[in-house]
Amino acid sequence: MNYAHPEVLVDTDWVLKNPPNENRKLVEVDYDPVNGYQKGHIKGASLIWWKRDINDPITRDIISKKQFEALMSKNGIKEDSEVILYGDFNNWFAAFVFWVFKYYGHENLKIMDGGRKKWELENKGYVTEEPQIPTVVYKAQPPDEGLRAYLFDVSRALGREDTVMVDVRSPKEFTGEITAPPEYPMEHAQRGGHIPGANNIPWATAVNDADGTFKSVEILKQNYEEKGVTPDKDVICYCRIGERSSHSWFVLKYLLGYSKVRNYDGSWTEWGNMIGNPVEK
Amino acid sequence: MEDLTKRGLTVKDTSIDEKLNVTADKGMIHDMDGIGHWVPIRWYFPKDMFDLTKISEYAEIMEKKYIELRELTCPDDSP
Repeated sequence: MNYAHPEVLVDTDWVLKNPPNENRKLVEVDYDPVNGYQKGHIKGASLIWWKRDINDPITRDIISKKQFEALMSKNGIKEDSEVILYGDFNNWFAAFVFWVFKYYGHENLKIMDGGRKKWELENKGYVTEEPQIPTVVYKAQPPDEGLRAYLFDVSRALGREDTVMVDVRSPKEFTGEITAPPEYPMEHAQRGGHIPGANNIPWATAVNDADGTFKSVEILKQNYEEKGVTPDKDVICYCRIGERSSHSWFVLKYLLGYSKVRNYDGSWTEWGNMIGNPVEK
Repeated sequence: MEDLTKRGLTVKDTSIDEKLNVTADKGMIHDMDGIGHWVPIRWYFPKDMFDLTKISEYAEIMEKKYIELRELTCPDDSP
């Protein structure tokens, strides 16, 4: 059985054989570009730095439509460009950027399965020189709010049988034993636990541990359906800052073809910090 | 010697800590911008090269650093 939308995935061999050109753009998306892109990246790839390029510099929010257009322009991406995303941390942030690109209506978009992890395992090689990219004009679509869940959407969904919440964090974060791993001391919340009624289906259950590629459609179906996350439901994914949940959002929406999946990018750092929000442990 | 503020951090590398010039277990901490920084978690001082007095000096320097950091965020106003 094939993924519902196999056109959104390419493998590392395909990327090797299909280098970027005027109509095809390769973009590395990193959480940590100092230890990623700057040390080496796939030839011809430009960089999107999650913190700098995808988030508003002042307010906690993703970039506005205007900022998105400027980002696309800087990366030489036109409305009809084919864009291939890959990145560090098992493509978490590449998936987040995929979600933002879709939010602003970019159509021809793919993820390189396995990201940097698989590319490195295969010793496919990196370069350090950055491509010279002429800027272009980009006109984004109005945001597709059907892809995004806000705090009030989550509050309203509490206890609803037609909506299912998927907490993709680790079991220790889900139970409240920790609010963030020691590696991320800036991402704690005031309370540990999870949104009442949420299912804990960690993002990692969707990928093969050896190379970070997505599991087969049969295994993915089983992974979610057994926990009541079925295609007939409204699904809201969340994690700590919204990046791992966009990875699971990608799996549910594009690999399994669920029609109603939203990413709650406020995630636990919003929910677990709000006064009065109900918390389950 | 161990930096207990780094407890729980995964050891990702064991190599020479250039500051103290001894082998150290190291982990990575990501800052506000997501950039990872290598930090020593525990140091292994060879007995034939270091005595307890010298190691205590290092420990006191570490403690002083954390007291200064704490003062920046939570100054102790008690008389």
